[in-house]
Amino acid sequence: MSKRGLLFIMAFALIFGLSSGLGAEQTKITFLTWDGGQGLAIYQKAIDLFMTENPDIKVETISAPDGYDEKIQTMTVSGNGPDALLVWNTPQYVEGGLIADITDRVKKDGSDLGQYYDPSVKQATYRGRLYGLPQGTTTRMIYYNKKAFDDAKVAYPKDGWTWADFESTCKKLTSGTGTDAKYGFIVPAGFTYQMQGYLWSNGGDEVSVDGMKSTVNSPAAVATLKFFKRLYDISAQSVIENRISSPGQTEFLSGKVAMMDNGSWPMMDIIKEGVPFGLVNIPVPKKGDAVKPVLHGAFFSVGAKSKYPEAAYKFVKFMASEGQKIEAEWDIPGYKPVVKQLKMADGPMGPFVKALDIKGLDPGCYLRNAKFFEADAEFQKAIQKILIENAEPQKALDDAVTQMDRILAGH
Amino acid sequence: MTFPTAVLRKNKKGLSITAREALSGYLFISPWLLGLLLFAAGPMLFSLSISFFKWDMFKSMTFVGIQNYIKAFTDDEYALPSLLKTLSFVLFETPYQLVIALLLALLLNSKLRGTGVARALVYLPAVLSGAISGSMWKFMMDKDLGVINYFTLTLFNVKIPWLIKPDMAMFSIALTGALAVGTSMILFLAALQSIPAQYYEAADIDGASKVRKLFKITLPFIAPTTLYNLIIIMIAQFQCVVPFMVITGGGPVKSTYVFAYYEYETAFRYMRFGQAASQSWIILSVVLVATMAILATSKFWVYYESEKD
Repeated sequence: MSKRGLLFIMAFALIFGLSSGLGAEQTKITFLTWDGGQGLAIYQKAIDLFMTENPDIKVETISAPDGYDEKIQTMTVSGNGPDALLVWNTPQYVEGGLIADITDRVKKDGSDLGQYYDPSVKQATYRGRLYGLPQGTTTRMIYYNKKAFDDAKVAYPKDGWTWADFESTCKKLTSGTGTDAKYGFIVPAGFTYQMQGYLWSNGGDEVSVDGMKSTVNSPAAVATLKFFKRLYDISAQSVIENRISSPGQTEFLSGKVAMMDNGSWPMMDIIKEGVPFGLVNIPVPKKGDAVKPVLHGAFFSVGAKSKYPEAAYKFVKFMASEGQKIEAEWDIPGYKPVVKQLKMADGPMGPFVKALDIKGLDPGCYLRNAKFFEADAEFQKAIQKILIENAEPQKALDDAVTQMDRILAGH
Repeated sequence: MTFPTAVLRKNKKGLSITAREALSGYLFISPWLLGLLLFAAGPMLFSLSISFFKWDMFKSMTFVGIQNYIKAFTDDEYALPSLLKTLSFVLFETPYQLVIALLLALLLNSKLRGTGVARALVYLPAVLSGAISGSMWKFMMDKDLGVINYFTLTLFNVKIPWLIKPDMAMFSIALTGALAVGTSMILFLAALQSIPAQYYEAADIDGASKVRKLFKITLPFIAPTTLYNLIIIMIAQFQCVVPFMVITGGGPVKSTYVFAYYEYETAFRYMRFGQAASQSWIILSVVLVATMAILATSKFWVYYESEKD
């Protein structure tokens, strides 16, 4: 071959190589998740699907099952904040400048927010601006072990049951002594989030609607605490939230307790263990009262410091909609079309799906004030005083209010 | 014999031998010095300076002077109570771990069969992460499902509220420290094995009892190691936070809310980095005073071979 010919081929190869290189130019984005292990494996399938559909975007998953908040803080401060991430504590992340406002982006691309469950969208909203698209959501319900009910010859509970029904059911399910002791229910002392559903159902609240005042010493709240104290004394007791399984899960699976109050996450484990169970809404104070369960939820956000907000938003949108078809194993997608398509209302998750249609579901007290959780720690302390140390409820809650108001006002 | 002429000859740059030796010395330790400046002294200086600010790590940073320090002692619900909790924890935990480490080392220093395996077993928990061993303790101490209560129920028909009762939780966590002695035990063991056998032989000839040998030979010989372990264990207890996070979360009723945990929450949960930095300087000064106090007493009970009088 002539020198010239060789040169020509080389030039051609160079140009071709360059252009093909350009064609395959990928935007690399990072996605921070608190899922690990099994949960992460499910996620990765959805992420892989996104990458297949969008070959120009490469998603690098960073998993931080422990110390999630610290992880994002250090990443952001060092200038390597994630492009996309899971969030639930909206006020803290917005105030910290960690997540991007996507209100205008959503408006521009004409997404219909009505396709998402309304409380889920509200959980991603802070001071009227939208900061993400829903991932999964779940209310808390009472799981009951059918076998334990059958053994004790107690009828299965029905929605609309009262606090009195609940208490007497617990007593009927209590049996045995020593290592054979069995209980009707388990009360994790000081689990304030769980208690909110009972507070709301009784017409009470933890903080005022504007988030500036604590209301845990109201008559409704005091009555709720007295009810919990009675429950605590006849139930299995657990100190605080467990990092490995949700509170009460281990006791329920082992058959130690016949009922637990929980979200949808333990369901897969319960099915796998073959425990025959049913689901019912939390009891209401008296017959005819409306039940107002508390809601857990998370959403996908674009990192505030993302260098590729376009790609990150595309990813967030995918994960919150199409991706939910794969992810919908642990909780209910915030995206209604997938819930319908997967016929989740007819599956084991059915009761949780129906609960999401309860009118006037509150997205959560924590959205009302960025300092909510610091104040909440004082409520927790008061609950523990009442349940464990038999403190007088009104006095303990009055003290908590003094502390909480100071914190909420940003002392 | 003649010394190398280099001793007398000044080098090209005019450096004397001492200066050159000093220079090469500094060069040799420069990686460590750099590390100190970058990873210890630098951050410490930074922490000291932000302790005079109100800072949420991301946005606003306002100079507040020594307000953070004053507030800790005058207007803080948890600073002093949690400092007292830390002090009582340190006072219990330090001798507790020290004695267990020493007893284990004495036991494993004896010429019994299987000491090699036993040494490895005792050290084993040291390789577990605090989060994992904490979770295991939490399960074991669970009131209703825990294995410890299973035994107490079967044997004595009592159920101990290890982590449920506020006046008990601190003690329960303190107990878990028994498995954290691996490293101190190894150091004790090394010290024990360096004691020359002839001292014991001489004592045997004089008919000294085992207890007497322990107090007159063993303990004086390993005193420098004891001092070292004492200080290291004490500082570790001041810093101890993982068991409190994992096992009790500072509860119930804040009964295990120690200073280190409060500091952690101030920074990473409530985003008050300035205040948290001031807290770390407060605890640093407490640790410093405690360490100086121990060092001051050490001249009465620690004997170094190099100090011949």
